[in-house]
Amino acid sequence: MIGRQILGNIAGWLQVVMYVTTLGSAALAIAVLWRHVAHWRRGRAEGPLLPWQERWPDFVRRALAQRDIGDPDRLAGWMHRMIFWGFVVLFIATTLTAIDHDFGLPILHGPFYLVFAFLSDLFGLFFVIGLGLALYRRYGLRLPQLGYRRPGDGLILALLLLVGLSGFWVEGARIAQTGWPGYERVSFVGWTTALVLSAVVPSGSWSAVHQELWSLHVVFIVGLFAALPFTRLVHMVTTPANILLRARRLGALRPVAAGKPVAELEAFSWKQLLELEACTSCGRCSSVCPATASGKPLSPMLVIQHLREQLQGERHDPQLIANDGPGVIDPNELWSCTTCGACEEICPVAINHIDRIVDLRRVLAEDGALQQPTTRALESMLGKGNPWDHAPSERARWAERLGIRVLREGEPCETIYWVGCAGAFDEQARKITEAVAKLCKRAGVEFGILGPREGCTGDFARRLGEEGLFQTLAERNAAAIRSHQPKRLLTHCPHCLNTFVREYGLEGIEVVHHAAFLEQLVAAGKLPLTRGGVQRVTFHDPCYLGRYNGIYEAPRLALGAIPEVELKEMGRTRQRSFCCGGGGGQVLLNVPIGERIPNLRFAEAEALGVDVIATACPFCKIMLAPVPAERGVEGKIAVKDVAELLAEACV
Amino acid sequence: MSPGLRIAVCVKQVLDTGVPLAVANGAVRQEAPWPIARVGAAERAALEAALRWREQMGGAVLAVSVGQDEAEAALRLCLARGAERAVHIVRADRLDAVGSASAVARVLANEAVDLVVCGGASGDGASGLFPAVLAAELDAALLTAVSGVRLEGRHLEVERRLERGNREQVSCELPAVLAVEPVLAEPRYISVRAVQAARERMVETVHSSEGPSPGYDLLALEPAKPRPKRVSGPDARLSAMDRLAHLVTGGVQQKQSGGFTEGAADQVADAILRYLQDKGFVRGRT
Repeated sequence: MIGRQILGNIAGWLQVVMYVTTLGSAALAIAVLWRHVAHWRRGRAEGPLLPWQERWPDFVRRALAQRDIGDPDRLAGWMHRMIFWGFVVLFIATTLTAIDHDFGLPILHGPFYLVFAFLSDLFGLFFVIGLGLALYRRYGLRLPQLGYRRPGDGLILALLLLVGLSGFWVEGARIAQTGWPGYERVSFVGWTTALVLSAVVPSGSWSAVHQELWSLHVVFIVGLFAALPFTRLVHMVTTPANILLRARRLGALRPVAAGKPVAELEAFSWKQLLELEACTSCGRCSSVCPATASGKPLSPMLVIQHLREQLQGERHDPQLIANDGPGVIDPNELWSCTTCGACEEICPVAINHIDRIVDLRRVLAEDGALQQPTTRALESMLGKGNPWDHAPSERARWAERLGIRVLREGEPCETIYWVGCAGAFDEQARKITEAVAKLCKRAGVEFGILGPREGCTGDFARRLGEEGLFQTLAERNAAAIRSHQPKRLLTHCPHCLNTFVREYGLEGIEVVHHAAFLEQLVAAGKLPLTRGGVQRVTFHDPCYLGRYNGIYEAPRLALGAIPEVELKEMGRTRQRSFCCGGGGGQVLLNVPIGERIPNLRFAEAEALGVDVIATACPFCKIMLAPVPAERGVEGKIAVKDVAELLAEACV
Repeated sequence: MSPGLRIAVCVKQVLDTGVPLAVANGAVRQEAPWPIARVGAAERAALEAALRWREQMGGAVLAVSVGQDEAEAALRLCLARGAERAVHIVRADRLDAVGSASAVARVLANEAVDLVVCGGASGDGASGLFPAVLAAELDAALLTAVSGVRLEGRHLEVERRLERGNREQVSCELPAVLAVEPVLAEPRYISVRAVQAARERMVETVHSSEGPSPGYDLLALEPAKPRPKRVSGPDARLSAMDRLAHLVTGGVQQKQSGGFTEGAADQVADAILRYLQDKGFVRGRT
């Protein structure tokens, strides 16, 4: 009769001990987990969760299928998948065994048992291999992203491995003790283990050895249960919960709470606090962070982990921000963030780093803890509608030469070209504006600009934490735009675009980025691109165009339509694009620590051997354009906007 | 010990010099689509310094401004930045620096302030007269061109900025009027939300219609009439260095001056006053 002997060889009192200790430690783990829930409940209310149609597929993809976890480190991915699926299958196997034994349902018999036994061994083997890989990554390779250690890191890996190994020892001993039934060869790891064990175990003592190994197995399992809520193993619970309860995506920032913002854990939402405990400190965020890469004092992982330490009482800093006196987070950490979103994009457990950083910046901004030249820029935004102290009346100066229609208040206009501050005032960015305006005229697109009534959209103000300024600017601009009853708002600035789409609520107005708009004009044959000349081009994905708004193809299609252009991709491209260093108000902040981020990005393009770095954001251009001169390669590599290249090709 | 320092800060609303002016309907108007309150750089530094001393030593900051509605905007800025009180001295007419200082002095005389901080020069007129007249009216010490301050109890040590980068250290006892330079303190950032919150705060008003105090009469205001200067070309026989010097100085070897006076402060002051009277700059009040 094919079947599984369950607890047949185990003394009654040992069985009792097993039930009491395993159930007891499991109950203890649940009780401690409940205390974690109390941690999260310290937070404020969270906004509505994402719709379930988005959350559940995400849960299946991330938590069950483990799809994102091997990106970019495939070894890490397979390591975790083997541990996870191994654990899940072994857990199911144990549950089936318990049902068979404790509830008297004979399921582990006949052919089903053979499949069960084979799969259990296979996944048990995966489990053990995965843990071997984990130990190798942590203690063999000593990967820098695993540099943040928590107490019990080694212990839990060892316990998990011992649970897996001792499971095979018990299985082997059981096979030998039950007289080597031939069908047990499907338990191929257990069978092999039995053969190995039989070299040292005398054939008469299998019963005693089985009982001893079984007891050892139980000891490891009890240890594992007990360690679970106190170590990073708690992510077995917190991480799936965090993925399933996702409330925010990259794009819009969290609305401000009423009253003056404060730097306290209680000022975060419960979801933000849950995220702190869902973080496994895998280090992927910091490995892609431009601030970290350039030697600035920010590591997104450490921001999360240091806040977690404070939440869980592992550190006792008097305040969250070390503004005057010790605190969890240094202001320079906060000011180093470019809000590029690389951390959130790569995070396998769906943590939102950026709105947390901006929440803390809001405290600093309300406290007046902003330095020059940022202060001056913000004051200029309020009074003059641009961050560089230019007179508002100068805003349409570029348009006079080109004969662009400047709209009067209330004049109806179907397509408004939103020029933006950089596009109006900055010498580098104005070339983009002029190119876009010329191309639109060439294609016969009727459009108007707001001129002096246009003001900064407030993206930088908001991301620097100056929410009141953002709100003021948003009200002004929204009213100015609506007064023309436009159907379409064209902008060449991804920051303006993102703010319009996600933060202004301009219902009924289509906001379109120039790369997409011009690509449509090219595709419709309205822009004859005849002149070649530029050869090797790489496209630098602006963060707020790509990661924030998912526009990756349009600029590439537009560039591809130019004769003789050979498009080369940098290693870090599309979703993984590396920030120019200008976002999140960095253009106005200029944190003078470490390497300049645009230099790193430029070096990447330079190594590719291109003639032109194309981009589609005025701030990317402002950041990258001065680099060739600094590096002494002026004239060899140019930084140009997609629109400029199209205008050059369009005769 | 006093419970803290009572500091008054005098501010004046000025036009933003970065925004061009336009003439429309017979009036000069600033083309600012979104006008915001502005005070001069020196007055911003004065307010910031006052707030810092208040934070260190306790006490209260009182902001004062003279004028029409625009003065209230400047005062609200001070409230947003952290001043405890704001007094708007309402005037229908436009006063000059002397008149404004007298009006402010009449209000401050009742407030028992320990320290008055003014900008060394306002953001527009920049006559620099206001602090001097105020100090005279309040009978307080006047310290001008202040670029650094150390305050211990009622003892004040001040660094003054002189010409050619020289610095002078002086000290005095409170009460005092400081005329400060913009370098004294970098103003903190004030968020728009704080500015909005200050709209709810109360600005006290004092109506003023009296003329300036007696003793200062504006006799005449004459525009400068510079005469064309005859400038000789450098003599070709001179050395290159001398020719350069000739071009740079316009051939003037030494500036004429009233001479150099040395001695005790009151003797020097008398000599200066005599010189000014001789040259007709000042009349009466000797």
